[in-house]
Amino acid sequence: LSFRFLADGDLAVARRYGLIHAGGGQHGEDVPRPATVVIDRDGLVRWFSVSRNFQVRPDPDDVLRAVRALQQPATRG
Amino acid sequence: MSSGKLAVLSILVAIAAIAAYVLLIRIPLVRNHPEGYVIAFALSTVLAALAVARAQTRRWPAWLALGLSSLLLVGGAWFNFVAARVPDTPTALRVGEPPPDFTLPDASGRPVSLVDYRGQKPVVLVFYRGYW
Repeated sequence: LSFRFLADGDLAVARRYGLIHAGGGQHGEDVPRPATVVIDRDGLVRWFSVSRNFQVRPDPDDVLRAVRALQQPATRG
Repeated sequence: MSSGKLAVLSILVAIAAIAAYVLLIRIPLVRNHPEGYVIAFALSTVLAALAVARAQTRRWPAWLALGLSSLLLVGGAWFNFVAARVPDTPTALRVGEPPPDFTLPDASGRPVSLVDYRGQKPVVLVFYRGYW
């Protein structure tokens, strides 16, 4: 398991993802909405969570469950 | 219960709510239910109001508790329901569809593309706000 921290300095990616909290920063600047996305090996979104309150983040158990579900052999047709 | 005891209980409930939220913030259940402290402040306010209603001679502890708890209730409710609210936005995320691709530098400046992981391994993408 590894982490890579990526810098989205000008929020271009957050903007492309539709995850901008306009004026939500400490000094009225735009910041991203807190969001977590689980993407499978085929590059498809399998689960995501976008916060509506900056105090709230997804429960790590829910993220793990979504990731573990990817390990199951696909049953979709 | 006497007015004085109700006033003390009211303040204890408010302090316990703040302490529990701050100390247990790493527990997802606590962190993800910030309305919990608002409910505790409301309970504290009700206790203080009862204390005021029952006060006969020494009234200031009850009024102090009522002032403190109602201030916390208004401030806490404003913070949780107004200040901390993140407006809904139409996102580009659809379950079963590929998310928009991107290339961003990692901590050592090397470019990382989402598409590089396709066919390799799953990805968990987390958007942070930068300073918390």
